[in-house]
Amino acid sequence: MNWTMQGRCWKFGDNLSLDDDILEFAKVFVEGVRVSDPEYLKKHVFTNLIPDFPERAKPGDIVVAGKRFGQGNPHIYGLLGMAGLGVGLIAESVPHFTYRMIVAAGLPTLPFFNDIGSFIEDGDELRVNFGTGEVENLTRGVRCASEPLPDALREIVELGGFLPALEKRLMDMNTKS
Amino acid sequence: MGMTLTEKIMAMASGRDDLRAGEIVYPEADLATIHDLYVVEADRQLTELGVERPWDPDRVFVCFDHDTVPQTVAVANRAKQIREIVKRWGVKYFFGPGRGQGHVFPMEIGIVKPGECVLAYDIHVTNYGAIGCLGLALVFEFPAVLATGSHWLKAPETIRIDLSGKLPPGVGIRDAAAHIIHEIGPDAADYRVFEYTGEALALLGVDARVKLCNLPIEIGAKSAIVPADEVVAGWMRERNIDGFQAIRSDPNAAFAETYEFNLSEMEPTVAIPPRPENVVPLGEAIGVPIHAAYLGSCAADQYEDMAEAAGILRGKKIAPGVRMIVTPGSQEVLTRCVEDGLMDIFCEAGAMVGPPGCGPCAIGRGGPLADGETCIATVTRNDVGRMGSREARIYLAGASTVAASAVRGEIADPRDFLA
Repeated sequence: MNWTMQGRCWKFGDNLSLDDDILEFAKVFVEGVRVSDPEYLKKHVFTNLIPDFPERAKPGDIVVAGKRFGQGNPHIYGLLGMAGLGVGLIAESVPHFTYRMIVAAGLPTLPFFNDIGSFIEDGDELRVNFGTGEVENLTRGVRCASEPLPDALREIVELGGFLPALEKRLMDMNTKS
Repeated sequence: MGMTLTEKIMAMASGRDDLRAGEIVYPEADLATIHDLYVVEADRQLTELGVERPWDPDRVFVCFDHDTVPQTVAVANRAKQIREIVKRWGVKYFFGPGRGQGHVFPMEIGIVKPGECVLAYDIHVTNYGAIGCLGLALVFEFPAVLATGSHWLKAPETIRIDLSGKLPPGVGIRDAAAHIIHEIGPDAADYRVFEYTGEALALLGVDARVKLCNLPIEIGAKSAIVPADEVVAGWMRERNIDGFQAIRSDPNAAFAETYEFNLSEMEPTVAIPPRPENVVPLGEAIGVPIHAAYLGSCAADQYEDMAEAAGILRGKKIAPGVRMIVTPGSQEVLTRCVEDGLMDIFCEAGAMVGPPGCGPCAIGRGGPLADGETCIATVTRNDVGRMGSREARIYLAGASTVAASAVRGEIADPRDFLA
């Protein structure tokens, strides 16, 4: 997997909620049934904050959020939608349950990047290596870095998230038995 | 160094003698629980993985508590689909709509017991902590539990919370639980277990303990638990449930932090929209006009909650222009409300009583809020859109405050109603 992404920074503030800011929970339901297809969910990501975000965001773009990104009931759908758009995520902090969901969604992330907001403004061009934790702000000529995900969790992201990783685990279990 | 109660339960479930917070393990579920809103999606994911039935159907619990009464044909068709899936899965514990809220009645009939490790789809599984059972939610990753019986979990640290004193008249345990999550806050709570101890517990029954175990998850705690004691043993004896065991944290266990709260100093609280930790003394919201009042959800639908509200509503009428919905947590709670005359009080006051289940807490099902409306409710969360319209506002409070506000037509103090 190529852990380096380059694109526009979409900068957000603190306390973005999973069920309203990132993706309005009611939109997860189609005819009363929850949809977890990233191709559907990506059309609703961040639209309560930036109505045309799904059209404007390009694969490789980086969402940069403040503290407690993804607070609230730990629904994964907005994160699956972000993965569907092909964007990466840097946050100052995320609640632990959301951290799990980000990994499960297969979303490349640097989830605990202290003070990232002071290096970066909305619209800056960024190059981010999610494998090493290095961030380069090409607009301002600044570099900074944080801890990448632990190996075990990077492997889940690399496999494409929770379901492909579970598929591999089931295959490994069957091979052993 | 000793182990915490949570470390002990997770160690047992993982087949280990010893376990410390921070270690990653694969505990096997004593019970795996899932509700109606997720069955179809979980089955689709399992099918994609080539899994036709859960790893051990005798340890799977499925409950219809969210869409108890389908409002559209599409939802009714999905309910039919769920029944077909559950039949194919061959699960031992399947409960249809109206049986009760899945985080309440399994305790009442002994499906979950002290010392067990329950892995769940839904986060409010922490309610089982009221009887010393460890509930851990995995939400979207739950199909891993259905397929294999376990999933990776990092053993969480524990915060010990010592409770002393006794609640003053007109103050409910929900008020205390809200005060506690506000004081501890999301940063300290993140991925930790709240373990309650102290002399005050002798006066707090299982219904009260559910409130203590329900609220912490809202600010990011992994779970909450009260070590099973003589109160739980007596509660199980009354219901002819066997399997009591008293497991406690070792005296030298490592707690991440310890807090002390004196229940005698508590006062009514309310959580201001749109976040459950926005807890303020009730006085700051007195007089806010309301359109709806709701008593129910897994945070407040047990007999004690019903009795608290009925104590305020007795002989009173709900204010003109206000609608009040009540959903008891289970058939047992509903039956007892009928037998003890609480139902008469609700009916005479003009409240609507809905079927046991999640009620409007599940995104407004069975009673959504309209644009611009304000509701006071005992629900679990007050996020934007939680009970319907995104333009509605939800204040969270205990049963007494909800009942008092329904009578006044504005947020009111239940202590004004004390004889």
